[in-house]
Amino acid sequence: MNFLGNITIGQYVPRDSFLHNLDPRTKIIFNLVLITVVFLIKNFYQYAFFGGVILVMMVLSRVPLSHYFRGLKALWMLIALTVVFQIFSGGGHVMYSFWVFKITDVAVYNTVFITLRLVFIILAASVLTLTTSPIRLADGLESLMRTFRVPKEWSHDFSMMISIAFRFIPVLAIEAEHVMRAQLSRGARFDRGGLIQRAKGMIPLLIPLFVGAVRMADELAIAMEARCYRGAEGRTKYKQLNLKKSDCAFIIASFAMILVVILPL
Amino acid sequence: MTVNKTKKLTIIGVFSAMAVVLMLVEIPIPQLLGFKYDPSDIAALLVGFMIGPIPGILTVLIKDLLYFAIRGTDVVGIFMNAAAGSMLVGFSALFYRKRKTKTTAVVSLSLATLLLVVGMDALNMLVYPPYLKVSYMFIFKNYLWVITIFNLVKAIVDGFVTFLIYKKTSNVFKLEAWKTTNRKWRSSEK
Repeated sequence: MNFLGNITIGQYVPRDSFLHNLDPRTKIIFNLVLITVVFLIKNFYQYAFFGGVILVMMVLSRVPLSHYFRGLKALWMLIALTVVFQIFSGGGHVMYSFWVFKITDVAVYNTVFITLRLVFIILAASVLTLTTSPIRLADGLESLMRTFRVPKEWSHDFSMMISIAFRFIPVLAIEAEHVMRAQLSRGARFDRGGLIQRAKGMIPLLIPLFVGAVRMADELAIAMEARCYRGAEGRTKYKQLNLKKSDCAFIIASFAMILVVILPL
Repeated sequence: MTVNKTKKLTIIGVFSAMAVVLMLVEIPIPQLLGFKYDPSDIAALLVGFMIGPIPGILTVLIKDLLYFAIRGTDVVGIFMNAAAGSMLVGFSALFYRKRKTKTTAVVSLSLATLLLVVGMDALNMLVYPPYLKVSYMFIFKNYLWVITIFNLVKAIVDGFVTFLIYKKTSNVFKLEAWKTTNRKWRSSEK
């Protein structure tokens, strides 16, 4: 178990590009639309079109392409599983067969189709997470929630909790590392035995961690109240989100993508 | 026991951060292809037991959102994880809130495990055939047992560990909450 090493691989790549400077709300809407649309794709012409769209996005983001492929590599198991599911699903004419396995043309078509769908969805999600920092994402979500008439109090609390959580991830990762080292030096074992053995081994790690977390939360609450924190009412923002012309154009363009799928081609 | 709002906010925030850290642990289970066990739901279960079902579900949602933001994995997998976590945490916390005893804790965790297994089977049957374009029979025959066993093992381990560590964590929580709500705590402490 290595807590710190995992954390430092955060997704966000700070750059100064068109996509980075877009409003987070725009990017969230664009992503939602794109992912929905990818599910509705019916033929390979549409795939070519959306492949082009995603490629343009990847170039516009000015993030090295290797970052996108890293995201794909992390999910190779899912992709491989899908391919295995599809390739033997049968139907149509047999193209190739050995022993009990038969590979048919319909199966090959389906395999390519579904794998592309999976890859497109992962790439689309990467475009969002590589160009938007989690804090901006939380801000965008908060203001989107307000657009959909979620009470201000709730949306504010939600984004506050996300900000707290995001800020505490590295702190708790360091804490976890310390507790683990301390318990290892006392002879605890974390990575041996079956699942039950491991679950039991986690207990000396988890109790100090959670007790520490409760203490941290308590100190944070006291510090916030000492600075007169009282929720959403009367609170203003340092960085205001406002939609620019490019954002509006982008949103319109993303809704136009729905037409491409719905209209018969 | 009443907990003030800022305290609830910070507890949910810090525990979701804890859940994200634990989610990165990822113990692979080689027998079940591709599935990885992560102890993150324990943190959400603790919040659910300490404060209530809605904060527990919020913890799960924030955890998945942040995990998506720092890892950028596939959307459907994250959605399934959120659904599974909300089912487990929401139901067990709702049941436990009425009578807080050890027996209710065990009963609520077992019932929530059953609900999780049945619910996730149903949800997988609903989502995966159209998503991966395979027949319902195929998923039912070849894949459903993997999902069932995985969720069963996950929920049992989570419940077991939560049951063992809940009391120790909540004692500290109650003490700290009592300190902040009772302004005269200094005079009553030795």
